[in-house]
Amino acid sequence: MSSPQSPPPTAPAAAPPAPRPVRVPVEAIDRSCRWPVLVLVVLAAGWLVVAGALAVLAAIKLHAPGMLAQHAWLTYGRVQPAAWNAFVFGFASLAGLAMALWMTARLSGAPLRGGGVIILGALVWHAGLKIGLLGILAGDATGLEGLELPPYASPLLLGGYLLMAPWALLTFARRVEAEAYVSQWHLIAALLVFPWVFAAAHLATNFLPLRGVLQAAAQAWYLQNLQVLWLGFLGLAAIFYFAPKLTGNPVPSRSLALFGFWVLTIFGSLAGQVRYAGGPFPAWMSSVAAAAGVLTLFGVYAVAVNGARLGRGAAGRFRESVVLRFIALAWLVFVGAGALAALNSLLGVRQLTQFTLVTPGLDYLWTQGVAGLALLGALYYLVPRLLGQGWPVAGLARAHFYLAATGILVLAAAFLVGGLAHGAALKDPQLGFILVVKRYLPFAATGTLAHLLWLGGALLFVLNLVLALVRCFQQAARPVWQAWWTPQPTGPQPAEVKP
Amino acid sequence: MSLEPRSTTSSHPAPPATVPDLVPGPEPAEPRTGTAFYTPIWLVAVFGAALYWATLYVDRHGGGFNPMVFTPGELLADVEARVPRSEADVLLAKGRQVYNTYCSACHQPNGRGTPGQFPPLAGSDWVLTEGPNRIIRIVLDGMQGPITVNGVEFNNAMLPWREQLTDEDIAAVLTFIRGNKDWGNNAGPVSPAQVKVIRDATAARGTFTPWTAAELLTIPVKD
Ligand code: HEC
Repeated sequence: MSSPQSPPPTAPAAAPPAPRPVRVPVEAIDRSCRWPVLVLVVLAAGWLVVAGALAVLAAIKLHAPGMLAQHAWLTYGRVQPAAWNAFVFGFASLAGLAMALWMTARLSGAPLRGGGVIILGALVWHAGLKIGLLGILAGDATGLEGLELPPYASPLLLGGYLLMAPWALLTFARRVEAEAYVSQWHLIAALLVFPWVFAAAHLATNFLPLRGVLQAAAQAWYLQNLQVLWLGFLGLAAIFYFAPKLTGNPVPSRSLALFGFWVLTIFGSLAGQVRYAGGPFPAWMSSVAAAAGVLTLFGVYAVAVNGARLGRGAAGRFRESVVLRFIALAWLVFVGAGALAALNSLLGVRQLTQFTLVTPGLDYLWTQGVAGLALLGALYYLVPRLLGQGWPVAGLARAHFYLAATGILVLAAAFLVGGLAHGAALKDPQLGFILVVKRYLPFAATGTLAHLLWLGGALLFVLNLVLALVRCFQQAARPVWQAWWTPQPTGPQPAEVKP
Repeated sequence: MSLEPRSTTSSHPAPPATVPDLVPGPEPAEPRTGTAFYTPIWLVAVFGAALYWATLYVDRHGGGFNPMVFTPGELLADVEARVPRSEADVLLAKGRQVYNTYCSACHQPNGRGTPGQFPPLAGSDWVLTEGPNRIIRIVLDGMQGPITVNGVEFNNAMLPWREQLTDEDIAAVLTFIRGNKDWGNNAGPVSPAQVKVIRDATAARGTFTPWTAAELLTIPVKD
């Protein structure tokens, strides 16, 4: 770990006076993050469970549509978007912001600024999402997948965001070292992309609607950017931060990471229209998307190579560290999902997979697989630092990893394999549509199992978090409590007794 | 510069043997990047090639970025060949094949024939009659001698196809030439049953007895 270069000599006094800011000790940084980031984490944890429960409900309805069907607000068309929004905007975005704020402060070597405003922003966002979700369940969802939040809720989310995210950039501006680290590239790209994509897509569909199919084009663009440049980049930021930190190896090639970053930023954002390949869109949209989709493979390759080299010789660390396991699996899912998505942009493949379970399967891999797993890993790491004490039951975290990992792998397998079977059946003119639907029932049922596993893991996480908070509260309250109950000593004060 | 490791909080010595992750322990150093290798040159080369392919792809499929050019689906002819709509469409698709195999050498792929030698089928007053009775006979047993097609005189010989082509083939090729919109023809289809009736009725003429125009003109075009 010794520096290959000797530290710069304490320069001659004549040098320009602006001194390099000094790296603040991590304890001080963590203290500056404590309240705002904890609030975000607690809100995110709540949404994780809500999203998990709604997802289980939605999954069951795919194979048992009669269940609870008498309540309109519990029908599939409302529960499914509610689950997606709760996960993406409730868990992933809030946990992502929590991680982004904390990680930026850590990497910048500067304390986090904006504490109270960030908390306010978190509450505004949270309130907006709550209103939005109730709106969706009440039947106010807009008709476009991913943009379901009703127009009276989405501005609140954006407002909350604008109270939170700028603080990451302002803290970054005060960084100690001029050169930004890999995770910071991804974080800053993600933080800048999200408000633009979110606002533009809601404007283009709900406020100043574009005409005709262009709404769907805007939606496809939005979903792609949300998945790759927001959720995916949050995931990559976590991967590039925790993997080197916990294995002790540096990211092998900065140059390759930079190459991958730009390829994903440029081409990842263009590939959205693949979702509607073959649809009634101007030809340039579909063909640009297909070409860009194939090119993203280079970005995925860069992440794959850097990651694989990073993990070399660190097998022991994986056994020890739960966080590292979450991170490694998120990396694996990123590489797998990225490669599959690139493959899926080829026309020949798309002809088989279009309008099958493959599309939601890939979506799950991005949201839950990449962002979900990586952010869970990040939360497991940062919460103890904020509280100043470890997780109460380490076993719960370990169990959570296994539940989440099997959940996501079973889900991916069910949807990808089921999607291919589904696509092949759709192509067969001998099969009536209802027979095709029957064919994918077993896969849908497997999906329910996967969501249950995921929900179980989420519950363990929340239980652990609640225990940790209660313990912290007790410790903080005990002195006050004792002072309150201990009868006022009549004799001389203890301080005076002590010699 | 980038080689320089980010400083750890100096109070902590070398990283601990076990990584503290679930408990706050001695904090491992903040991560850093290395320069173990640069982006491999072959990767840049392959990426350049892929970029080139992408431009070609967009050029070929992108409709020149014209917002009015939409993603082409299948050509109508391909769709109809794959999913025949009716019996007449089946005949039409088959007729195209028969025509290309047996007739186009003389009457030309565009149906316009060769001036002075082979009469046209496109717009021909023999082909576009109300019923197909005469042209079924021409294809079955051939034809020779003078014939006036759209006011132009031809005097040549056409081969008989009685032995080579089935009722269905003949019905198909005649449906095709009568209904070929590319040629501007728009007359009704011919059914295999119609061909069979005439084949049986004219079997007694003996093979290789070509028709003459004069003979055919005595036969009503339609039963
Ligand atoms: C060897 C060249 C040749 C081939 C092959 C041939 N034809 Fe002809 N066809 C002729 C000639 C020559 C005439 C004019 C005969 C005459 O002059 O009496 C003719 C006349 C006709 C006519 C009536 C005149 C007109 O132009 O409408 C029809 C209908 C016709 N052919 C259809 C066909 C079909 C259908 C086939 C394919 C199964 C076919 N022919 C193949 C040479 C050919």
